[in-house]
Amino acid sequence: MTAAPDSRPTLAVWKFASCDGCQLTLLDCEDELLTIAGAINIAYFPEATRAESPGPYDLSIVEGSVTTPHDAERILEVRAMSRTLITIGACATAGGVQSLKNWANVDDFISIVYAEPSFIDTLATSTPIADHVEVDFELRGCPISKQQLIEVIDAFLSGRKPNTPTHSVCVECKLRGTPCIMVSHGTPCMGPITQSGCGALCPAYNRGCYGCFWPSDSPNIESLRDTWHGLGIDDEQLVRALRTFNAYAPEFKEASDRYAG
Amino acid sequence: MPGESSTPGESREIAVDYLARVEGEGAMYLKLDGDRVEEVQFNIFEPPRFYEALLRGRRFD
Ligand code: SF4
Ligand code: SF4
Repeated sequence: MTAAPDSRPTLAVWKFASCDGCQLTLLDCEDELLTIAGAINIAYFPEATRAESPGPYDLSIVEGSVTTPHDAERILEVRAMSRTLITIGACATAGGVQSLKNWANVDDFISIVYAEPSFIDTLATSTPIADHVEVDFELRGCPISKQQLIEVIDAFLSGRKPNTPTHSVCVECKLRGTPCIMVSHGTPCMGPITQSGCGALCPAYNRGCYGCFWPSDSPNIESLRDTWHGLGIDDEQLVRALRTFNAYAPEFKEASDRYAG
Repeated sequence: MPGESSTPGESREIAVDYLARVEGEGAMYLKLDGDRVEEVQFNIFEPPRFYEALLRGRRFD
């Protein structure tokens, strides 16, 4: 008896400049992992297995930002061998924390961090994957949410649009029953301008949201600024908050540049 | 490799193209002459992210 040909779509997982946290979210899907592996053929995923099958691939999941000349070429090759390409996490969708170097002189950074600067080959910027190639869907977060990743893979398998709301973290605080930490004990929180997806994790532990999930739909950053001023937070601190996980997201970048003066 | 016996004078090469868990990515090449390590090359191809430089001037909280 010969085995039936594998009709499952193939998956490849790629890494650019990143910490691996988002792709590990896929391995963290412990309870669902076998179901996912039953529905999709994991063809290239070096973080998980050394076995690899050659492309093209039906679905490529890309983590990380483009920060080197070599990676700027490699992303073109990845796009060319991928039918659908989805980017995951703040690095891939916004340039990540490392995009802070976009405001600095990278040559200074190289000599601060590395003993042998001549070994380092880097671009002046860290940019999202969508600045380089066409991207079919961008999943936000630093790191991404496991449930949202499963939703995106499920949507891909059934040929529909992923359901990942773009409203603010505040909505999830209400759904979770967390009293607003900004109103009730004056903790500065970026929840009102940050996209949901995490389940309002930080406010549930009395920490202000740091904005790790990308700007929410039409964020009113000016109003948040007024509220933060009322809490004694000045523009310098606000600019730092905006320039953290999603510093290069257009709305956060534009506002931080304006307030930095 | 642990548990493997080595014959003096026997030359071996071990090349690992992808070390996934070295806080990023790297590769390693080892050349052995019996028990004697002749050559080690460790290549970090993870792109630099400059966290040490980015953290300057930021409060820990
Ligand atoms: S705690 Fe933050 S995210 Fe939650 S409702 Fe208040 S402002 Fe919004
Ligand atoms: S509350 Fe904000 S910082 Fe915390 S996980 Fe959610 S989006 Fe990220």
